[in-house]
Amino acid sequence: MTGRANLLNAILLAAGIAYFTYALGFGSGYTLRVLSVAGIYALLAIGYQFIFGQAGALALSQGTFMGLGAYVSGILDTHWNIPFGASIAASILVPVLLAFLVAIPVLHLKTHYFALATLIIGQIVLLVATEWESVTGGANGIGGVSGLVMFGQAIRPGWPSLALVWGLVAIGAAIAWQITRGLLGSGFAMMRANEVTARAIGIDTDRLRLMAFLLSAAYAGLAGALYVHTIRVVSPDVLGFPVMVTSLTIAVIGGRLPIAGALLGAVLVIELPEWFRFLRDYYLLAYGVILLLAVILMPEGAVGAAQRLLARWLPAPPPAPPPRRALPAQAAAPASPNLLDITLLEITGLSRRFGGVRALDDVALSLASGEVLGLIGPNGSGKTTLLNVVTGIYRPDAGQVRFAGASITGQTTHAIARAGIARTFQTVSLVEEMDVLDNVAIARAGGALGLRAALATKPRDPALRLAREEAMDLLARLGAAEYALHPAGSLPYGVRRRVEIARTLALRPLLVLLDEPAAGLNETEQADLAERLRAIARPGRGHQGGAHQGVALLVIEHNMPFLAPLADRMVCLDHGRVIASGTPAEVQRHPLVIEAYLGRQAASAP
Amino acid sequence: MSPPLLDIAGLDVAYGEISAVQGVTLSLGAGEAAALLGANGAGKSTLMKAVIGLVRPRAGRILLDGQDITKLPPQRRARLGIGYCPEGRRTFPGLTVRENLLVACWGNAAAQRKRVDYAFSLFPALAEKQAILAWSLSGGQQQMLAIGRSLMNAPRLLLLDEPSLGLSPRLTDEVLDRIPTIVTEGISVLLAEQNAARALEVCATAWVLRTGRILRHGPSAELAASDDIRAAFLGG
Amino acid sequence: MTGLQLLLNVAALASAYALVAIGFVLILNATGAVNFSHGDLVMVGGFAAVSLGAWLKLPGIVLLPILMLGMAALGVAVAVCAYFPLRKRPPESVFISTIAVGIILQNAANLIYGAESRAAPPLLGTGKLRILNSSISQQGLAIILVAAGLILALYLVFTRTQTGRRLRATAQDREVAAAIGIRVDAMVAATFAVATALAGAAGLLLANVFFVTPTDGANYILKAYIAVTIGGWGSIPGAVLGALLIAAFEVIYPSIPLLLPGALGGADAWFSQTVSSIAMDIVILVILVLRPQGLFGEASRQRP
Repeated sequence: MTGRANLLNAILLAAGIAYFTYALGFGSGYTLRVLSVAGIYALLAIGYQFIFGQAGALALSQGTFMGLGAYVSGILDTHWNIPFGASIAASILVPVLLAFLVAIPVLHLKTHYFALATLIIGQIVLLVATEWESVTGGANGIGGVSGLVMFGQAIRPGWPSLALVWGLVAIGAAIAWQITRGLLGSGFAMMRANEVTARAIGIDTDRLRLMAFLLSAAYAGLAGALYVHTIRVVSPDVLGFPVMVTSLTIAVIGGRLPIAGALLGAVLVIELPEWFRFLRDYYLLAYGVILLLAVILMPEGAVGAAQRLLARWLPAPPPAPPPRRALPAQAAAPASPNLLDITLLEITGLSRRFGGVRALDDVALSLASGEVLGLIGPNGSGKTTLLNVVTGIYRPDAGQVRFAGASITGQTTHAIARAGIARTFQTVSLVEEMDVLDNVAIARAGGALGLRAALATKPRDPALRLAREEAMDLLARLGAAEYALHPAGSLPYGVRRRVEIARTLALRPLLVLLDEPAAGLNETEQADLAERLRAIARPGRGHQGGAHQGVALLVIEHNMPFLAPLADRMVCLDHGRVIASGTPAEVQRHPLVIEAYLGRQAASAP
Repeated sequence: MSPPLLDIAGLDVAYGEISAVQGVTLSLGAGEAAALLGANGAGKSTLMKAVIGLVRPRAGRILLDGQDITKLPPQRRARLGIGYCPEGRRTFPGLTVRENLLVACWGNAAAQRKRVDYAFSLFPALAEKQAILAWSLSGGQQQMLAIGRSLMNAPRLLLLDEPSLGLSPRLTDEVLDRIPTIVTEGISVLLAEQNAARALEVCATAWVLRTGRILRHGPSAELAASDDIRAAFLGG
Repeated sequence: MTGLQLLLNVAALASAYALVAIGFVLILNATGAVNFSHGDLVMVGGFAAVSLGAWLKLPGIVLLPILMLGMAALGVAVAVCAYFPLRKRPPESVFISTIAVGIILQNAANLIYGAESRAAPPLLGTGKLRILNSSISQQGLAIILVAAGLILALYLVFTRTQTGRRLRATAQDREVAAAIGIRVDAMVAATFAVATALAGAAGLLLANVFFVTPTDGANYILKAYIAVTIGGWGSIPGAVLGALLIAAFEVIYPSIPLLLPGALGGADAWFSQTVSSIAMDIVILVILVLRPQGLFGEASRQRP
């Protein structure tokens, strides 16, 4: 959370307090009830932002969860006289349980299928509620739900109810803020930026998405319970699509900022129709028009637009960077004190087809620790596919990949990353809005992203500080220290590549796979990169003088002047097969290699 | 000397921050076949896309037969006489062979049929597969179809982007050997290829690209004999 | 009810649903985006038929071409408002903008017509014909013939005309389509026009038997979404098959007590309309989970 975001939140808070004071002083009972409803929708929207904003998944289930919470609370109240305060836990747990059951088969589906699955589940719940008259009161619902009751005390409508609702909103907002402001928030941001890259730096994206889904259900359940005791009737309307649409609209207008956005959005969405009441029947129509205009003109929502305006008036100076600190001696590797000269990576008989094309055909190669292996081959020869199979993005059809003696064939990408294999991609994916330091630090913490840890994040969280200090050290090794607090989106291209490499090193890998690292760099930058890669592979050569263990490198490149001096050995692929292997000089002059690149005639030329 | 058919001056193309083509100046006369050589990432495809208009240059100018097309959208350039055969073939998978050819024709039904017959005369293997959906063709057949499609509008300039990609040497020969035939019709050809040896055989001149800049330019025979090509690809 | 009557009901409903699903898939293929207002466009077609019928006092079959022309224009308007400004954004933006368009359409209909259901004029007449000892509704037969005719016409345009080929090419690879001279923006607008015209036709066909209310849109978009997902995302024949399966389920399931009278004892409650919907939803969910690429597989060969 930058200082500017906090300022904006403060402004909104002040405006909110002013509005509330006005409403309390001059508003009627009806105005106050509308404001309560706005609070309930704010809570709903804050919850929705977990799955929609943070995890980036288009779930259409928020209305269903709210409705479930409403029904549970309403039924417990009317059938068994269990008041609001006592039934809160149930109204939260039932939607969470449904979310959990639904998540397992459905959460991994791609966007459109996931959206449809959530829609259908919503339909089923709605239909059941309409049919199961004995329990739910059928299409007419159940009336006579008692009002809000906390700790045995009835909370009167009017400002006491308002205070309770918005008190809970404040607590919910605080929890949401706490969860997302630390490394977990950065983890979500990385997942949104590029899910494959996120997994490659050790983030278990499936687990994060499940967490977000369950949180959104929990908030929705509470919102539902509050709703049913405020309007004192439970009916299938609360399960209908309009509630979902409202939630979505608030999220869109509010933008991706979880708290300020939800609050602003909720107030706008609920109050706006009231303000437009003078247009009487036209206000719902106007509502649709506003949503359309909002999504076209304000891609980051109203709050995002406000942030941009604020940025123009008050550019914030960057605070001083944290002090550097050397990485402790390698603890990640297995106990062996001398890792040199063991076979770190061993690939045997690896094959993979895509449709009719053999992308990899019985590939075998090995890499010793501390070695630099160059992988070359014409376009389409299978180099990137090989990397993708080694890092678990694709499963091989045949063959094995062994790393440090153990088989990693078929493991998940994030597990492989945490086992010690890091990689770069042809296109660098960084979280553009986040600063460079956090982009690197997130890799440091990738394996430890959990809800409990997030809730426990203190303002001066030692884990975060340590991760940042280590990130700082890595950035210095890659010559990018001066950019540490700049947003990643503002970097020149050459620096992006170096930041990406720093991020891979933050995983404390034993092996780094680099996919065309020199692409797009000018000659000076290439020389600089080669120098730094050499230092990473063989740190003993007095670069920083620290106790850094050497890292094995597998480098895919087309750029021979860059690769040949760097690599100890080279392997050449063509049409998925290994056609040459040896020292760079040997491979460069190998007739099959020349033929693969230049065609048959050139190979036979003198 | 007649003015060149294609005249590119000082072209700069970048993807965001990454410069892909820098200061490229190149020209091609009517009825001329030129090869565009270079390793992967040298900028060949980007240059082709800039000529057909699928990417916008940051700086520079492109003239087609004297007309400035730098700001025109791809549809207009195609109809002004540029045929484009993209990298990776990209035939329309759900259309039949015949439909792939027809859809690229402009003119009445009789004119369309004539153009399609011309494509079949160049690539007889396609005629047998007229009614087959393009996605089920082999790589070589798709490449022939893609080249045929790019000729349907009777272009004056044909852009071929790495037609040998993924093809066996025999199929590469079959495909590239058509180029001289196309040139005799008066169509200029710009051929981007990694397979330098074959490209130099079918084209009269060549331009060698490295990291977005022109490294060398000259008659194919000269370049084939020199070491520059091998150095450009393999160093050492 | 005889088997023939049942079959006819299934076929009639399936025909109308097929028109909706085909329109939905056309836009999906051309733009890669879900048009959430498609169901509401069907509803608009229904109300337009009501108004045209009240105004011109002609049978539905005559109103149909006029209606379809008007709906085509509306389709272009939707494309201009909700799609073209968001072309370069991620597909969720179009999802949301089309939801907004749906809200606008629904509330506009509510304002103009009120919340009660209305009936559109029948295509030819509302009588019954006697065929093979069964009493078949004229309207049902007419729906099948009209829908089949429209689908056939669509098929012919798409496969036999140059414009149809260009529409398909644009849907399959937009970039290459532009590079061979096709005006892709015009093709996308034309696709919206055709899809919306089909939706309008479906609305007219359905509004006589089922009546039309402003809130019908949600139901139709869900059915279209389901049909397309079962049949294989992006496949036109798959969409038709999906529509058929949905219609079959919707008609046959609640009729089971009638088809097997007395065989189920008192379990009639399990075959109400609502339970039928629940059962279908559960089946869809199972299909989605077990085979998300649909019965035909995702038409990935249609998209490079």
